[in-house]
Amino acid sequence: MVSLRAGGVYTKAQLQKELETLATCGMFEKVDLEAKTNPDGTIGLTVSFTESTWEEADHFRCINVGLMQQSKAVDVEDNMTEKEKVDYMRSQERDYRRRMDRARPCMLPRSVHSEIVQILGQGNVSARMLQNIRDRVQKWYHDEGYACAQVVNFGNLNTNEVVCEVVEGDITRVVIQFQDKLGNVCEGNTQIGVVRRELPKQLQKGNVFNIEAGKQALRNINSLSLFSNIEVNPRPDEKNEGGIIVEIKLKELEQKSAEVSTEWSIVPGRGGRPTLASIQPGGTVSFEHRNIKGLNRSLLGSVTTSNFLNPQDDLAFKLEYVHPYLDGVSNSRNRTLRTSVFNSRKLSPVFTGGPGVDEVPPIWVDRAGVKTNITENFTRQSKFTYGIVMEEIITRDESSHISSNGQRVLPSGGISADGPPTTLSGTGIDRMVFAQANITRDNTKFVNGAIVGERNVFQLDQGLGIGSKFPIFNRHQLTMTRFIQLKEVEEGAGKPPPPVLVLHGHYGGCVGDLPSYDAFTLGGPYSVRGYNMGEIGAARNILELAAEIRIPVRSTHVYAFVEHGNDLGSSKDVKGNPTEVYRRMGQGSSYGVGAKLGLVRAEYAIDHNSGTGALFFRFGERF
Amino acid sequence: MMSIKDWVLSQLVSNSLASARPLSGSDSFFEGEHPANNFNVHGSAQTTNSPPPEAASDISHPTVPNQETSHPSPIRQVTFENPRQPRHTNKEKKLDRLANIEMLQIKFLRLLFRLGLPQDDLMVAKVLYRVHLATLIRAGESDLKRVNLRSDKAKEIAIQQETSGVPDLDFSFSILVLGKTGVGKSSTINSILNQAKAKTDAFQPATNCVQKIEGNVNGIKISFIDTPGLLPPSPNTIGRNRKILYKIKKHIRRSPPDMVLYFERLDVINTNYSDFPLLKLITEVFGTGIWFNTMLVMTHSCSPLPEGPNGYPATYESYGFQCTDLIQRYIHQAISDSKLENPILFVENHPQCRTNINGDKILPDGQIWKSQFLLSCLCTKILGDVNKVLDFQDRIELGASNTTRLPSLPHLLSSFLHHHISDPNATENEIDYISLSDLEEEEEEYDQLPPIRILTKSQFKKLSNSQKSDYLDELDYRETLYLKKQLKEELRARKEKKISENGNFDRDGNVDSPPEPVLLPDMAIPPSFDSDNPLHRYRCLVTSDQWLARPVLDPHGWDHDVGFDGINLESATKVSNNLYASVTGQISKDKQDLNVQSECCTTFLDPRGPTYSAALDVQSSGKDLFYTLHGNTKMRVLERNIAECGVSLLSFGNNYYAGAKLEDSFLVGKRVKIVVNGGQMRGREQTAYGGSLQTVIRGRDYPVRNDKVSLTMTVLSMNKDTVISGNIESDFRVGRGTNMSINANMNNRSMGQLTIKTSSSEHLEIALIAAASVLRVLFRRAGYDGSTKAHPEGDDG
Repeated sequence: MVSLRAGGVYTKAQLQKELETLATCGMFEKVDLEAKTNPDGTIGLTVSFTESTWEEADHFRCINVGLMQQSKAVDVEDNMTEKEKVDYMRSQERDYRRRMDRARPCMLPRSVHSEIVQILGQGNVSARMLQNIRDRVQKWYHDEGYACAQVVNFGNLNTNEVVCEVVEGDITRVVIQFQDKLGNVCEGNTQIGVVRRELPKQLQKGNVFNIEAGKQALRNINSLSLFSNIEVNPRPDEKNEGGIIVEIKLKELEQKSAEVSTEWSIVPGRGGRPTLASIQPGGTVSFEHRNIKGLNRSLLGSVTTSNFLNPQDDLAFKLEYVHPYLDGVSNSRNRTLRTSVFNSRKLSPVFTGGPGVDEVPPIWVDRAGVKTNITENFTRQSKFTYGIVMEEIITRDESSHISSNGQRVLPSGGISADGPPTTLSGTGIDRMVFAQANITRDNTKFVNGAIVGERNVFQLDQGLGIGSKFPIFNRHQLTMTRFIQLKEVEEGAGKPPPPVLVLHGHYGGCVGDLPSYDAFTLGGPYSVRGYNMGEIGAARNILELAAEIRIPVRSTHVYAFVEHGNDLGSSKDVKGNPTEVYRRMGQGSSYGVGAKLGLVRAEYAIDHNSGTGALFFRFGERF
Repeated sequence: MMSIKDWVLSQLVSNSLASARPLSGSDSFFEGEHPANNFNVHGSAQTTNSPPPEAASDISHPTVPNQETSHPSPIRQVTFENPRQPRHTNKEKKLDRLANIEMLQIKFLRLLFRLGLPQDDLMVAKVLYRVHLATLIRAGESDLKRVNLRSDKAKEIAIQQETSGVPDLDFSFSILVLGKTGVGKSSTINSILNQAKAKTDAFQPATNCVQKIEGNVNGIKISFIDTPGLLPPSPNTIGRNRKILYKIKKHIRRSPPDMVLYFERLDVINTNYSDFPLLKLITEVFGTGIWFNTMLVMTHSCSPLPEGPNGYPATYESYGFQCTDLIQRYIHQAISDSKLENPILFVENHPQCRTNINGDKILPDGQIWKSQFLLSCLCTKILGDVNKVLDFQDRIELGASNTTRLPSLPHLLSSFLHHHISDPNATENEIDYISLSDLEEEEEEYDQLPPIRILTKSQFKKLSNSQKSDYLDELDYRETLYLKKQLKEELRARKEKKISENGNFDRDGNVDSPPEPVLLPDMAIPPSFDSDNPLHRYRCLVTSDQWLARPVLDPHGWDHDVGFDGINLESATKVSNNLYASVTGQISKDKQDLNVQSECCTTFLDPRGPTYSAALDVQSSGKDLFYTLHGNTKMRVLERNIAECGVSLLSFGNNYYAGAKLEDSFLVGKRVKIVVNGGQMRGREQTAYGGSLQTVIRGRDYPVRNDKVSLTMTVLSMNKDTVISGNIESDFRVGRGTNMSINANMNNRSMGQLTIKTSSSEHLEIALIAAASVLRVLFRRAGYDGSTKAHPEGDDG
């Protein structure tokens, strides 16, 4: 407690001050400061003190005195009569009892309570003992994240019961503030409600400030991706003693942005003079308008083409509108409307070969259309999504001509286009409208970095009879995954994760019209590992089963897995039987081992159909 | 080099020229069926005129044999034939070889006598001619005379030796048989050896393991390696077939066969030939080299022929040709090389096969197949041995490997000149760092500004237009100064940190407890029309891992898949006080394909000044890998001048390229930076030179506002061919919140590119350009099929 240090030079006033602080801190009855001049000109200081002690106590009580007036010790006037003194003492005691009664109970758990009673049992209550108690109490609070909790006073000394007065740090106000680029406070564009609904309950007014809740708020607000800088700071409330004001400072991101990038090629023209290959430029245009109306609605779009004025097949576009808080910002129901218009060009896994057949001409599936859906978030991971999709599917061959049938390489080396039909209409162009739903129940969580819990997903596509050939179909998929923790482990940072057994099943079925591009394919990194996409087959009904055991090694894990995929004999129900035509088996198993490094998986998988193994690198989890 | 390869291939390659040549005294059947043994007119013309000079140089560079079916070592034969002739000099070696060839030739002729085969057979003539040709190439000019003289004598010697029986003819060859089960591999062996040495069964597989069957035909020792039949290819049997093939491979590793017979039934081949996966598998297991010494054997050649397209039974010749052509084509596909031609043999093992008066089984066209069989084997063996003796064997490469494109030297040089080893340390651009430290000396302008009152939105609305723009300009000006101030503070902090680090780097033991893992926000994935929502696959905790992994998106991946195909990894560590290491790479590995692009780099900061760095880049190109090794030294010569020199060594396949460069960058004033560099690159006996001069003029507010103009002039020269190119690049601010970047380049071949980039946070209208293209597409579609699709009118907002 003594702030004087050997070797320092102090003035008399400083020494006086030091003595005063020591004497008034309440821990000592008497403090003396004795100075002795040494022969070499230095001074030796001796601080002698008598510790304050009080009567022995065997009870302990902790009260929350936050937001209450601090008790003021009125000095006992010397000129009081004995009776007055007794009266005064009594009234003070009464006051204190009333104060204790009014105080709210505090959160200190029984275990810490009994620990402190044990400390009390050591003998007379001394200043040092009180300090111990204070440290213990504050330690518990700080360990639990109540960073603003403080022991402010010990009362009721000299009685049977020691009362510990704690200010826990009650939140009196949550202030949300916006800053401009220069750090000045300014008016924000974002509506306060948007930020407020991201605050965890523990950070609302009336709760005790907890640093964990503050961090949670920081993360939640950050996930809105509306702000470039977020600060969550507790600040003592001047007007309300013991209260905490939570200040949230936000720097908003630029709301709008647009980028145009154009490109011209220069080629030798007439007479070798450099000229533009085409006056019409190609390039990319993209724009964003975020946080429309301050409600986090956003509109994004991009167009890429090699010729803006006369775009050909290489036109890629995307336009997305997101409208969160469909039921109002203040409503706790969290529904988001999402509409997007986009196109994509991808390879069809239906038209690939089985083992040993690698010369299947690819079929490109061009999809373009509108997708509108509403997502209701129950928790962060569990969701219900339903919506409508309108899409146009064009299937093309390698040279991007529209093709209505898959191709085969003939023994003569030629290519015949008499493979399975690629579309429902038989023309290579399909249009359809269908309803879509996805319900996910996901209560997985991370235990020291390992996923534990279960996830069930049910997906449904329902054809409405609108489109080419009036397609009516029902496509349903059920995915169930269990992550079973095999050993109880202590949770905490740096602790090893538990071994986990993963069981996974996926059933997909389809009733009604089924164009080949929507058939379920077997094989691939998320179906049956160790195979290429679609290497096992394409079918109407599929069943995939997988088991994986994960053994922790240091902070990550290694795993071994077995997987099986089966078409349940339904490959023949797909038009043209692409499974058979491209010599695939329709079923297959694989097994292998792997290691996880962050989100990267490195695995060696052996496919059971051909008996060969290969090393794969993948990003993300399999399940 | 190429001419030799051509020639060697011609051993097995037929070209149209050759088959069109009128052949007297030969029947048409052989022309069709043994195109492998046709003359290569082109090759002969070239080689007889003048033996290519490369031949000599080739001998001095013996290459490592890369063929799997290697022949018994010729050395043994050499010592046997010429025990007294020591071989010292190169010339003697050559002579020795010639002697060897001579012996082989004589042996060949003797065997022909013994087998009772006509010496004037076309095939025999061809073999002899080929041997002669090969010898000519190898012989060199000094020996030409001898070669020419010798060939005529061979026949005489052969007849003489055969009649006298001295010396003993020691000739043997081993044959590996391969084929599907039930095609008659064992039966053929039995027919050739004339005794039932191998068990056969007409209805089920009789051979269960790899076995060696030895026999003697007219004094020639033939050893067959009989193998279990392969199963008809289907996805189910691929595993078992692979096992069989590996067993065979293990067996022949001990005693490589001289030739391989691939069996097929002539009567069951149809146009939907489905054995391609089998051929592929064989190639995969044994390597493409196996097909080099392979003869196709068609069994059941006497079976009734199927009906042709016109309803009549097809003619024997055309049918046979059709079938063998089919198989040949599949073999070409399997090894992805269409130059190979395998000899074809027709066989009939049926006991009731037609025979001629001597009791020899004959084919429908009257050929005695057994003698043809032996002759072909003999020819193959002899040619194989000749090749072996003359070292031709190793130079033959099958497959598509020779189609890989070599990198162009100027391109390598230009990328080398621009390449800077990415420095894991933060002080990468030291020259920039110097200019930054200039900043520090400037006064703190921001703090001297008068305070400003920030207006509320409603207040701002009340302002007149000019006031509004004044207000915004003022804010903008302040922002610039504010950013400058922040930058300065950062610099100062960094400097202080450096000083404090230097002061007490031995107090490093202060290990922080691992930070609490935090769940990352969900990753953005490209939109799809599926009901699937695979976000959970990419959920992860933030760890203090040094590795930073990111997915690489392939927008044209698989349908119904997110398309995260590759992985991007990054890691940087501080090994010790002045040594930094970093690894960055991108990898995608599929079942077959591997794509790597990575850079490992270490940097050593010498406290006395220079910075040394070394980097190894690995990049895959097709099936090959590029390796590039860079070394670099950077040194601050003067206050505002940094010199750099670098070397690079690139290896691709068997080609090596080496390069060196010098670079110097200096500051003129505060805003002009000049970089000069020059270098050369050498490889494949060619050299390219190049250099560039770059001038960068920076804006007043650099580095807060990234305004700059950069002019670059590059000269690249190779083979007296010079390309000069210029590049102008400019970044500037058009107004508040709008940036433009113009980049134009042009070379003296009138080729170039012009790029304009505009980005704005104020004027969203520029995105309307996109509306034009979208509308255009919509109109075209409307005209095209009359139905307008539901599509938002303006794709722009």
